[in-house]
Amino acid sequence: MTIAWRKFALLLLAVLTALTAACSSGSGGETGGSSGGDGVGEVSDISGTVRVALAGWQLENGLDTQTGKKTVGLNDFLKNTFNKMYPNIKLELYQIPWENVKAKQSAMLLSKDVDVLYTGGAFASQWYNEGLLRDIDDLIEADSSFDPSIYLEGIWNNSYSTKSPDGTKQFGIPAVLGRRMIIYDKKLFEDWGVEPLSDKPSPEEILEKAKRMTGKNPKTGADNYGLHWSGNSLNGSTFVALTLAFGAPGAEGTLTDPKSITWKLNSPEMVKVMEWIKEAAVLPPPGFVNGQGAETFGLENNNIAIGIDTTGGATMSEFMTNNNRELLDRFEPVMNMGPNGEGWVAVDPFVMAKDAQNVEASWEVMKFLSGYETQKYRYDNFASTPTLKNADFVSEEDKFIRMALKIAEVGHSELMDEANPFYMSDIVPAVNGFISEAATGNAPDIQQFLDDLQQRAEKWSANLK
Amino acid sequence: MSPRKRLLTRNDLTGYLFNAPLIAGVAAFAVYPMAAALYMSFRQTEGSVVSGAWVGLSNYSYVLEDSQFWKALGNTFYMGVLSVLLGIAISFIMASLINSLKWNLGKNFFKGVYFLPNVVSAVATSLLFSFLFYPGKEGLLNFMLGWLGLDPVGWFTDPRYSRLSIVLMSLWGAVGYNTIIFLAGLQSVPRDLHEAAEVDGAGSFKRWLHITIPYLRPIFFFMLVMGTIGGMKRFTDVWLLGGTAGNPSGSLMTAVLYIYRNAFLASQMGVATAASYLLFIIILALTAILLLLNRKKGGPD
Repeated sequence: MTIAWRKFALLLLAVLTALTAACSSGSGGETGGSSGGDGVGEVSDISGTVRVALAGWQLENGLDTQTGKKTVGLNDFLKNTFNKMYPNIKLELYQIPWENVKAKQSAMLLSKDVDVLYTGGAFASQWYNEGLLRDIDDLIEADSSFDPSIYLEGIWNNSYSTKSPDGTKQFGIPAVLGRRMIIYDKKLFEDWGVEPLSDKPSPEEILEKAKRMTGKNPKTGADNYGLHWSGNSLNGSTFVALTLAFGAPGAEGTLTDPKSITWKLNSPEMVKVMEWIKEAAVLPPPGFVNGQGAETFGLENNNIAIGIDTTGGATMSEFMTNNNRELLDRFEPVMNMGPNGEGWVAVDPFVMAKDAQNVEASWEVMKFLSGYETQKYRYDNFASTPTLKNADFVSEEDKFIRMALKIAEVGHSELMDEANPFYMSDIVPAVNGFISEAATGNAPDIQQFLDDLQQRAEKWSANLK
Repeated sequence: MSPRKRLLTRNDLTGYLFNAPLIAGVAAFAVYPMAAALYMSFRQTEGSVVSGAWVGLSNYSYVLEDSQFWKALGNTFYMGVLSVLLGIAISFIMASLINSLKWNLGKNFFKGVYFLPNVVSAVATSLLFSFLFYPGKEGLLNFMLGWLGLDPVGWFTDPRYSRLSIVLMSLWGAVGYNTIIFLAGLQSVPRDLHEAAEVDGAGSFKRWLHITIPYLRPIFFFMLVMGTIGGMKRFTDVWLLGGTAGNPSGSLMTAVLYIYRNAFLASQMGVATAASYLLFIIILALTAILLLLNRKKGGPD
């Protein structure tokens, strides 16, 4: 190699090194959310090791892929807060991706390798029924520092994710809320000359207005769709909201004893639910059957007038990234379809394993991770929806989270819920199948469809010994 | 009189000792789960716990009387048969074309190009195809159909096309792998057979039909068996595209999706394991039939 080439190679190496250093430098980019820790001191000398399995939580610092902001990982947050407050409690954190989380956390519970878990509400409910989780009523009673009234009442009192099926025992603390609300596009409503949705729209109002806004936009000439919801939703949340709206509980009984459930799936009220679905299924973009079609909902090029069970995430991300207030004003959230504006509310709780090794220390960990400080940290960094009555850290502009909290406040769990095994394995798939047939104009006979579902449900119950 | 043979010689013991880790692994991770699943299929289980009340054949009769199971099985067969037959035919033709290329660099280029989709995960493939096969006119394929004046097709949303679309998607992923296997087989066909046939005046198509294809029969058979087993276990792509309902209209619900629904959504491990064993028996029977058919025809040489 000639000297000139060597010099060139060295120069190239130097430039690359400088570039790498610049890219990884901490000075660039927007700073992210809080890592807590202001004025934190020791609050307890309880000692022990607690093994915590967290579904989907980010442990290391990183970047928000949508907004580009830096996010603080749980490890750093705990270093600044929990470790100072409880210096003698050693945490062993296991991060588990949401994919197949149930199988992995079930294995940890069965092998007694975990004390505290953050998980999906339906999983928690099923584990509780299987006797794998511990009641926490005694711990709450003995701890004067724990105040259950800080949590939203609708969630604390009525969620299968944290309460036993008969509602007498508490086994979880709600930590993160799912966001599902009706959002409409004010611009499309104006283009079509349609009155805005009311604060608590009924299914009839939604359907009537959606029908009027399906077709060629009178102002822009673009193809518009009056309505969208996910036609292959795993938990059938829109179906749940409709059963609440039409007073069709679908079943009577308790999940404590699933074989004693009396199924009422072919009631006249349920017929009304399916009739609504049949009429509504021709309005969304065709991809909704497979959960597609709403890629631009909440954004500039949106062509859907009303989105059911949407989060407002796309609009909020635009606002956070580009301060796009126009979009924020354009998309308006309202309550869900239930009589009081309720709908299905997902709650992800912290729960304690039945065989937790150190109950006292585990309780402190569980309490802290579902408490105010952690919920604030999760909101600041990951826009997680809190479960608190007084979530004063939620930004003024975040009207979507505020609406989600309002809906959760009036929430209640019924038997049409993901905690119900037959609901998940058969009812939701059957309803989704019905939606896909109705979308192509080939909906089956509703009464026959419901009679068949009823028959299968009765057979399912009969098979339980 | 020869000395009485010892039950276990030192050599035997050493052999067993070396094999012990493998045997222990197979016992713990293959034999035990299979036995536990069989045990669970006769029980009314609660969640993932193996124990539960003995219910005899109740779980099996529940599955066999469930119309959803038969529907799932029908879908599985439909997609499996089409995937296997089309997959074998297309990949064999591709392999033959690549093999006939005189240009070595071109051969390697096409091998690489066709094998590439095989390294893409089923999740990424499903995502990609959900946009390629987007049901509106914005979808790439429908956009092209629009040039011909044709209406958009609901590839994954219309039950008339959804299973076929899944077959096309799986072909995209599998053809490359099958092509490589066939290419290896094609290169092992003795040249002297071809030369002798050429001397006798046989053209290239006749030689392909009467020498190459019969010679590759074991490979065809291998593909058929492996394809059948794989086809009967179809899950990831249909689940990602059709959800737990196997939308549209349950046309994408396969036998494994039925098992998944019962195991992980309803926590009915007893029913799920009974369905798994029924599927196992079906796959076993299909493989046995294929083996018998192959034996009847006799070996390739």
